Amino acid sequence: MSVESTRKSPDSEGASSVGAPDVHVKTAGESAPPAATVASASRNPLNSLMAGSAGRNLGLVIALVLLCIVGVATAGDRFASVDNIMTILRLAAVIGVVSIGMTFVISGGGIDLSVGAIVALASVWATTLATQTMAADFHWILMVFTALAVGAGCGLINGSLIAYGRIAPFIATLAMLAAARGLAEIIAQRRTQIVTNRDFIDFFQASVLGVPVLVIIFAIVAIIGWVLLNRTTFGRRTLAVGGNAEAARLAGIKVQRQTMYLYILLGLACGLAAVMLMARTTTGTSTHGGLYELDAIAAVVIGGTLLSGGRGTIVGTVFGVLIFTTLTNVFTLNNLGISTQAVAKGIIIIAAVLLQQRVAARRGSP
Amino acid sequence: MTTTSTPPQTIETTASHDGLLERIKSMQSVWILGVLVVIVAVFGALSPTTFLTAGNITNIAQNVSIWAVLAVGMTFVIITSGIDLSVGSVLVVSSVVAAKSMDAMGGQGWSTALIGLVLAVIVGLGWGILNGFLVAKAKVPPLIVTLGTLSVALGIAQIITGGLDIRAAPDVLQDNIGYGRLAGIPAITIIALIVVVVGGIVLHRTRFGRYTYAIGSNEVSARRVGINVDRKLIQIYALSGLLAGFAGILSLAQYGTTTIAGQSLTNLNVIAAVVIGGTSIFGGQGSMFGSMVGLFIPAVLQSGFVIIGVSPYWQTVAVGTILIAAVYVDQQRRAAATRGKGVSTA
Repeated sequence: MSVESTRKSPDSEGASSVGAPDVHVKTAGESAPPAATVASASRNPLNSLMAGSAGRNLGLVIALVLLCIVGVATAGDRFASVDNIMTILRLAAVIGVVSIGMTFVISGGGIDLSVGAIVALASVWATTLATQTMAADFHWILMVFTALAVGAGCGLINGSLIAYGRIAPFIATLAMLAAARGLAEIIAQRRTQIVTNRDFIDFFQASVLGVPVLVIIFAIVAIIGWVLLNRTTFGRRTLAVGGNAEAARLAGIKVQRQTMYLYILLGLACGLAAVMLMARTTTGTSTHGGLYELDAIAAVVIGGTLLSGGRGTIVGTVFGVLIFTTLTNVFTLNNLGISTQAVAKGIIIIAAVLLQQRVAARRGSP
Repeated sequence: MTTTSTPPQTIETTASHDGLLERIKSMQSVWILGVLVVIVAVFGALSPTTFLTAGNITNIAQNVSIWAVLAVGMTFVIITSGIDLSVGSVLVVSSVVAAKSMDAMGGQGWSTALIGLVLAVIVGLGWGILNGFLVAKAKVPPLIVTLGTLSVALGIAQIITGGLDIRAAPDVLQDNIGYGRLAGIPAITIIALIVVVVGGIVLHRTRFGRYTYAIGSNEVSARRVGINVDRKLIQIYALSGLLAGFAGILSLAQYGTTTIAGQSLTNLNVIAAVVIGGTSIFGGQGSMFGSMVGLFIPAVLQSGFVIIGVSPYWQTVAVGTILIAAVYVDQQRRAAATRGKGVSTA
């Protein structure tokens, strides 16, 4: 526990020292106004709405709407067609499932750099000749189970190392990144493995009432994630552990077990993402999931989940994923390459966090 | 908050009162050096005729030279409890700017090479200052800042080049720095060694170095004793950027081309090396020597695996395992030390 607490202390103290000079200035000049703003905030319905989760997500909605306006203005019907919107959603689905798992880990005060590598390993393991032969004899569901089991196994290793081995999440998952990616390369020998099971592909590439199955899976995962985080004790415990691990322990929460569950959950999400990716690309390779860790962390953080833990929002994460995917789509439709997207993405990440901090500082000062 | 921040301080003060032998024993770099020696001994025993040759050892040293330059900056950054994910991208963007300008100038002489060097270092320094400013003044977490600048720097490099690598290193640069040797030792290794030694002296023997530890150990205390923490942080990230820029020109000299797609895992490799070497990700502890030992373990493993005929893919698995083992052992030892000393000082 000493490790946990020493880790927390620089962050929180740094933050308080940052705020300190500002607070002094304010209290010297205007000691009454803060209290007044609190009172007015609770009375004015618009302000209270803004202070709630709707207000937090409003910025994201505006950003998404602006992106769509830019998309319609520059690409017209090519952007605003049903086909294109389904393309955006289908692309968002895979990284979206990973990001929802990542929301839990980050809310719980952790981080996972190994998600992309786990996706790669799960996709490779589930498409080996042995697995596919068995799946052909039995049912394609075996491939799904394999991917989920590999994902959960990696999550279990991550979680055990972090919760019981007390290794910093950054380091433990960095090691998992290297090891899982390496293992994927060993198994696949850097070859692309083709998914031969037609039923598997047909099932996941199908559409129900015009909505692709991948998008439906993403929606289901998002709903389950939202309920789990906001309406269950599991979710409350997650936020408690992320907010203050020591306080959570004193309150009787089994912090270590909870932390481990979070990484297993994310591992499962990675396994599911691997299945979806296998269906979309009809392949399993050790290069799948490249830089997913950065995309997922970026989506989660711009969605409004605190990187230091204790606050998480699934709705925000979904918006974060949609913003990045729509951005990619708009850029692609305008023939702007990955390079320009990378620049825009980087600036958006930093700007979003800067903005969040300004808002948090304003709200936190009284 | 005061109770949680005391343990690092007590370690710091008691450690300085111990004898030299105690201090050496408590350094993780010494343990890791032992691991490195064992690995070298195993490969040496398995294939004495190819592994323990001057040629192979020089080869390994040459392979880690560029990462060594990056690891110097990264050691400083991690000791402040920060992180710099952008080093690989900054290396790429610096080398691209340098290559593009040297290409435009057209010469093959030292003057062209010098301009390239200066430009690469300036670009790297600029990125570093930007990182430092966002971390220190804007208070954005280092992970996010450098994740963002990683993306931006790589994007800019791709925009400048259109995604195609530029082959434009002046001959003098390639002949003297890239392939050149001094008394049998590759010139690039000697340059890296100089950077490492200077970095080590600055970290361990100057006020700047002490401040780096102080900030990482306890930022608030550092502020209270009058250290200009913000300025120091900007300087440290600037140093990391500057070294990434310098590594950019070294990479041009070694490969004769920019390596736009080849640096995506450089940041994690360098971070892993620094952490294996005993620098704490929570800040306040670490050594330059340890980082260098940490750098050699993956390199030696890779070379050894190739020589004894094991798939080099196993190398990443082995590095991951060693990373975990190193950190785990270190934390157990540190926890034991904190418990023991906590009792004696209480």
